[in-house]
Amino acid sequence: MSAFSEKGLLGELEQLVLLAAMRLGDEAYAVSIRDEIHDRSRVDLSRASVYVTLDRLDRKGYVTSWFGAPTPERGGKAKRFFRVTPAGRRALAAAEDAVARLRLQARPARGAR
Amino acid sequence: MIRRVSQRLAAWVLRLGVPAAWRDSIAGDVAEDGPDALGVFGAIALVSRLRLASRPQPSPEREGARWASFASGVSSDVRSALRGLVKQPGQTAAVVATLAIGIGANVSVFSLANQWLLRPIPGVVDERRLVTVTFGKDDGTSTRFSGPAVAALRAGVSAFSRLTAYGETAVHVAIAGRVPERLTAQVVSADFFETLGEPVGIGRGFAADEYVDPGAPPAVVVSDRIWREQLGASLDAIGRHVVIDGEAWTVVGVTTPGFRGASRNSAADLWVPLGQFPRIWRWLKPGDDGFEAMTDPNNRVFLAVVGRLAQGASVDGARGQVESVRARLAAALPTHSQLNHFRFLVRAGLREGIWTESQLTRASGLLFGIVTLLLVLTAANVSSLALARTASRRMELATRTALGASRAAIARLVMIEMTMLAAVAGVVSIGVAMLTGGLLQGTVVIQGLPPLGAASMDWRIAGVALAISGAAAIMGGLVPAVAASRAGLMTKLRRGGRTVSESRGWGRALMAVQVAISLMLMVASLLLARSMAERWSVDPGFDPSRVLTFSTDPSTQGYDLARKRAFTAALLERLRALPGVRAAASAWPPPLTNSRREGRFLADSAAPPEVTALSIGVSSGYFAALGVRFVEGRDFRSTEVVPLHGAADPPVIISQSLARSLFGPGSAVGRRIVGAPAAARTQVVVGVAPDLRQMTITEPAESMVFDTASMGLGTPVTIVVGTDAPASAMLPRVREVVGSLDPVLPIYDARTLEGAIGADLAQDALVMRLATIFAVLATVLAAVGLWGVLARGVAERRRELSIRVALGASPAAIGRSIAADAWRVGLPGIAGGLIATLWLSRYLQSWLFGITRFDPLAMAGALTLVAAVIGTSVVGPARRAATIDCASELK
Repeated sequence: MSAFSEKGLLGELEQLVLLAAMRLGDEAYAVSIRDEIHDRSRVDLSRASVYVTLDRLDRKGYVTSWFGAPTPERGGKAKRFFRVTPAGRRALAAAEDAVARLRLQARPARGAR
Repeated sequence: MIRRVSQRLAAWVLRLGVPAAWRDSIAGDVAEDGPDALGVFGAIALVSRLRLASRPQPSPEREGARWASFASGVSSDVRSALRGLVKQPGQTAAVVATLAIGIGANVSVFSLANQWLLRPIPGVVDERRLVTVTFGKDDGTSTRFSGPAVAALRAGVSAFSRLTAYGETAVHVAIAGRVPERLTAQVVSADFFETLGEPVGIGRGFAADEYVDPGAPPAVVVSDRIWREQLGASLDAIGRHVVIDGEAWTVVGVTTPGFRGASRNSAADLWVPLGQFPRIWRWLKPGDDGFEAMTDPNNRVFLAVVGRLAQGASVDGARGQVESVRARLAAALPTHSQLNHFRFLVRAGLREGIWTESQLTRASGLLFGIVTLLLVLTAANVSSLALARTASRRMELATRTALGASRAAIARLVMIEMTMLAAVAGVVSIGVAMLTGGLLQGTVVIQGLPPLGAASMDWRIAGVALAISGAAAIMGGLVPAVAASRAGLMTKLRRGGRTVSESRGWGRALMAVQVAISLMLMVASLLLARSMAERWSVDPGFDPSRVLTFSTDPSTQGYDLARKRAFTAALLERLRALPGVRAAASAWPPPLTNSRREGRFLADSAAPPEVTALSIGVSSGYFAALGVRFVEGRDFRSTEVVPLHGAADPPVIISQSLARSLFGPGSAVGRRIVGAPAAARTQVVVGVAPDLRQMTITEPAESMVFDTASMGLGTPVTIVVGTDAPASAMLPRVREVVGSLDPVLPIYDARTLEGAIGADLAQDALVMRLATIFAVLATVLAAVGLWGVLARGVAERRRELSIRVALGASPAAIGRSIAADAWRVGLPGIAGGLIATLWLSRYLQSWLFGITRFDPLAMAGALTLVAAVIGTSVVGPARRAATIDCASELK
């Protein structure tokens, strides 16, 4: 068993959100993450999915958050910014690695047929 | 406008619903995206998803901890329940006993059904791959397979890897010089033991050539029972000789203990290979060579064909192939009525005949219905007991609640108590079932089937006891658990010790259920009892208690036809000479034995109608033996014994109804009847007998033709003896007479005709008796339950009642108010029970005889009984309430 047991594995949504947050760096918050995913991958996530995923990543310790300054265009409400933690990066790498390995192992079987 | 309302609502939903960590930022995000970004439904969806997701996710460790806390909660509950139950041994015993009645009745009935229909047959390997083929119709009429039919199936059904067939016959077996005993032998075709698996425990089965070769030395496999009882259970038994029907056979094998043939209800003791059938079925053809008869497609000897499914084959596949074999055979023999009108019925597993099986399922089904109601009643009964307990332990429950026990925890405590009680009751119920099995052991339920064996404990019975106990625990615990979980709450809220029963509504409902069920069961048992009485009151046309019949089979002791006739004549002569014997005659088939032989007859003019009538061969004196007077004409003379195909115009006696349908209202004596269609044998009517019940007591009398044509070797000698005193006393004397003629000739089916009726009604009698026992138990439980509820009510209301007495209420008025309480429960119960009875009694229909399912007598009887029981259980509590001492109570 690798460093990531079942509970450390990432779902597809989680991977998308983590990747988007990494690209956005210090500008990652719910609205920008959703836009980034839409622009780059043509995947249209619902608002709730983004919040739920961020919430889950937060509880797993794969992102940290902080609040920015309130701005008038947001009705005086602060943004909640996110940053991917080192644990989040490792989880992402492990997930990609696991998929890649599986793909490698699947290939010879297909060739043999 | 609508949009603005929606936006406002959305904002409001978000503000209220979103967890604090997200609240401001989400509101900001929405504002940033513009006012149209989120409607009210979107907001609700967002909130609910976020709420769901942010519930603490159970980590494995936390999950483990929850289990541990649950387990420790349960174990502490178990301990506390045990303490509580031990502290009140009386109530605990009452609940266990009540539950044991309900569960025990169910387990007992299951144990019956298990014995009849489910239990595995010892020695049979992998019964799921076996298939039984019988020859009949779905309505239960059946016939047998001929040798060629079995051969065609063997060749034509590839879905079977092996196939065998068996027939049954009675043989006389003498072992080690003992008097011969009449036993059932199965004549088995090739592969019999191999198809079933390993039914032979000691020695061997039959070799391939033994199965078919008539020239092989006669070999027999005997049952474990015979081996133990007659062969000394010794291994030397293999190779010993037993005498079957006067010839010596060599024992080659002994079956696995408990194997009695290829179905659950067969009771064979010997197995002989088909090749040897001429030795067993000597009557097949009076000559030597019976093999021709065996291979004649009209000769039907095999009860059933058993096949083992080949790898990958299915029952449905086998069914298709079997049917196409039948179709081919039918096409080749277009005049063969059975092949063209009956089907080859294919069923999975080793099965009884369709009729037998339907009788067994029918009886099991009715009994299951009854005991299920009884179980519901007992569950309701213990529910109300537990409810009362809940009321009396309000303080304890309130304390638990105050100390932080959740409603679920309190409900769990009550459920655990009930589960423990039900578990104990379940164990007791297995004992109850074994006891019932012991009482029923030896009862013949259906004629022709072996008597009920000892109820044996197996995993099925244990499993069913467990399942039923679980069901009882849930049914019995649910209401008290809910009530208890609420009771803690209520008391907390009310901050007081007032004992107003909030559970009283539930208690009433539970009581009404019990009254309703006891009424239903009472009606059912009275309907069954009334039907039984109706059956017994049928006048068969003779007095069944003064007629005795018995059979003996001289041909199985090597008698030929002439010796058999001489024996019969001598036997009748000696019987007639016995003091107390009115008359004696031979008859085949004898009355009330459910065996049918029929023919079709025309009047001498050969004009229609052609009438189907039962055809019965009798000797002179038959009607005198039954004590029947002739309508007109006379009995046969003792000289009027005719060979089967003898001289023209032999005498015949016909029944009154046949005389009427053939000859109209005029005299029939001297007229002629003709057998239809081709036999064209003319017989002269010398007498007309009244209509008699012939098949069974409950089947209406049919047209009958009596002649004196004597029977061949294949039929036994059956004697009918009329006596002056009750006939049962004559049985030993009759045995002596037969013994004086031939000391080694066994007699069988010796009984009075009353006994024959009893045997025919055995199944109805068993069901009626069990239904009555269950109904009485139900009513007693309901009465005790009602009494308990009322007595508790009086105890709870002492203060109130005392005040009423002090204010001038008369004792009678107080008593009346208690009685009114009882009827407030009783009347809805009775009404519900009546409605349910009217609806459910349709399932009783096929068990009723001579009455409808709405029989007013049974209904009125049951209503009176239940009402009387309610009335009786009121008396005690009402009296106690009426004699309440208000002075000391209000001190």
